Amino acid sequence: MIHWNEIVMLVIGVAVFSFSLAYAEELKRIPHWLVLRLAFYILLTAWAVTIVEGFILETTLNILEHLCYACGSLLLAVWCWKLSFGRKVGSE
Amino acid sequence: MFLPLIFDLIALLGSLAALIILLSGWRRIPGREVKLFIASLLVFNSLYVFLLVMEWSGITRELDPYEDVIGALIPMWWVFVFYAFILNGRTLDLQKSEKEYRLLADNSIDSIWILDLDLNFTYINQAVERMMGFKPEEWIGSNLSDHSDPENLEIMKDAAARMLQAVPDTSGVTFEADMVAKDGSVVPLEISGKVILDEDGNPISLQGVARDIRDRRKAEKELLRERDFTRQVIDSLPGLFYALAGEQLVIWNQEFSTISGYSPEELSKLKGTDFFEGDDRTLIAERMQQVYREGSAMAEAEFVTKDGRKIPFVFSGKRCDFDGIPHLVGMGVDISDRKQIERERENLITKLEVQNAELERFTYTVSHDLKSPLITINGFIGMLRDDLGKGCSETIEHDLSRISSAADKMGRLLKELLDLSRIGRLVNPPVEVPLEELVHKALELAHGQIERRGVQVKILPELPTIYCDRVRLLEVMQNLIDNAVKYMGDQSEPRIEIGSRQDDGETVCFVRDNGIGIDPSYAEKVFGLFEQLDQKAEGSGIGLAVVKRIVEVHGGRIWVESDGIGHGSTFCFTLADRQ
Repeated sequence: MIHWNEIVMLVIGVAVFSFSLAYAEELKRIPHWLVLRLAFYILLTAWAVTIVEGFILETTLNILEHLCYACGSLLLAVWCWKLSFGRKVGSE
Repeated sequence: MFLPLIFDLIALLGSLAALIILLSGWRRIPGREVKLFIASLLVFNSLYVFLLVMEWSGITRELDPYEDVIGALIPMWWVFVFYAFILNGRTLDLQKSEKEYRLLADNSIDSIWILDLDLNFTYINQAVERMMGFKPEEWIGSNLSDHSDPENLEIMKDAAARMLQAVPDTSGVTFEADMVAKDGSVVPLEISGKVILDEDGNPISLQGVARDIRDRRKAEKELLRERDFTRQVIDSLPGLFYALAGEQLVIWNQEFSTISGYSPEELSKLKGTDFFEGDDRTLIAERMQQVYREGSAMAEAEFVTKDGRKIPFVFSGKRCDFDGIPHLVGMGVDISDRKQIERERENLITKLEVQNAELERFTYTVSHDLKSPLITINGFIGMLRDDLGKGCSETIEHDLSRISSAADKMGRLLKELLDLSRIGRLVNPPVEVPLEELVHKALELAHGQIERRGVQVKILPELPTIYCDRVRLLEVMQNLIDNAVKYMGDQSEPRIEIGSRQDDGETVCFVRDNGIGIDPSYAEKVFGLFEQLDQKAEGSGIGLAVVKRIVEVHGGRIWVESDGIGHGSTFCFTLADRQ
């Protein structure tokens, strides 16, 4: 079953992805950008998978979706740690 | 069913941990907006996974509508986070750029200024304190007129007007003006300025840079002083000083211009070889090539001035490279005096050679002619001795007469030789004498023989006044008239003309007769000692030698003109000018 909010999440997520590509040069200057970008891509994957699970491999993809939430959240925690207490990088 | 729940719990813990970490390191994270958006993103993320936990744990599904809304907010918030970072980065860039610009402006050795359109300073950097002694805060707000005298203010106002008139061209102007420092000293500045326009293209201010050029002015003065000094040294050099680039004359001294007669404008267009003619030009061209090829050379040549005068010079040249371009630098020394001395020496040597030859001839002639009466005397003494033995009174008387005659001749010869030797040694002070006066006097002295021979004498008009030893010149005229009368030959209408003529600007005096004439091949010989073309003629043959000697002592020349035997002769002479 496909939920409308999941579609909205994916659409906005893809728009954010496009935005990140368009401003890639400036976004590269975000401290520890690779970690943050990986967190975003994993969450984007979760938003995509939750749509796909409505058509195929519902159980597996559902587990993958929640796994992505977990990984994404952990990566955000790591990024916040690096941002707050890690070595200063970038232009800030 | 458990795995999603476990993962959601992990996600919730991770998200909350991220939030706690963010809050604990809040101060260390730059950018208030960035921190707020990250925090709100983490809050939304935590709420979302919390609602998932509620759902998957089966506690409640009533919160699903909130889950949908919050789920949609999360990706949107990522954009906010990204954009907050971008804006923060740009702000930092701007701040950094402004900081760098301030740093640059404050550390600039030049003064950077901004004036409003009323010429009030709205900004100036720290350099103004070093340059003018004013702190920037003291300077800002003042008017341009507060820092300059009326003359320099006018220069700067004029520059500002030109900048404004050139709008929309904002390329700006550069000029030099003096401003007054805080201590009252005058500071020369090189000022560059341009107009600043607003978005509509209207001028809003003037902006530019002012550079303290005291050191440059000092260096320029020093350079000018050194150049003046060098120029004075070059101009004080005796003779010609020159520098050529290739063949083109590029530097010369005042003496060069004076001697050559060319103006500096004319000289700047002339080549080194343009001051020479003929073989000298070829020689100088060769020597110039030698200088560039071998480093140095010298040459003697005649320098031709603008008015055509030729002055002998010795030229030297040395190769010097300026800015990588080979130049010829050298000097020319006037050797007119040396050449004159050389000529005089050569003339003297020639004269001495002639005199030596003359002396040899004289010695031979004198010894020969003096020997003749001695032989006569000796011979008649022998004969006298015989006649005395015989007691023949008639022949004794004859012998004594011949001995006496020979002794007289010898005495006369010795007297005339003594007179000849005195010419040039015993001199009377030179005076201006009308030649006509001398001619009349000489004719008086020769009156007897002129009368006897019935010679007609004609004195031509306009005889010159000459500057001479009066007594000696009278002797010359007397000898020439005597000589003319003596060599009349069988002329039935003997005639003598005395006059003068102009030959090539030179006054030539002459005594012309219609006597026996002279073979041109003997024209020189007649002036020799004891030379008599007619052996039967009276006299010793010293007269013309005396005349020649007197004329030469007066710096003149004497020669005879004749068309040959039977055509008469003309004795001509010149005398040196009074100068």
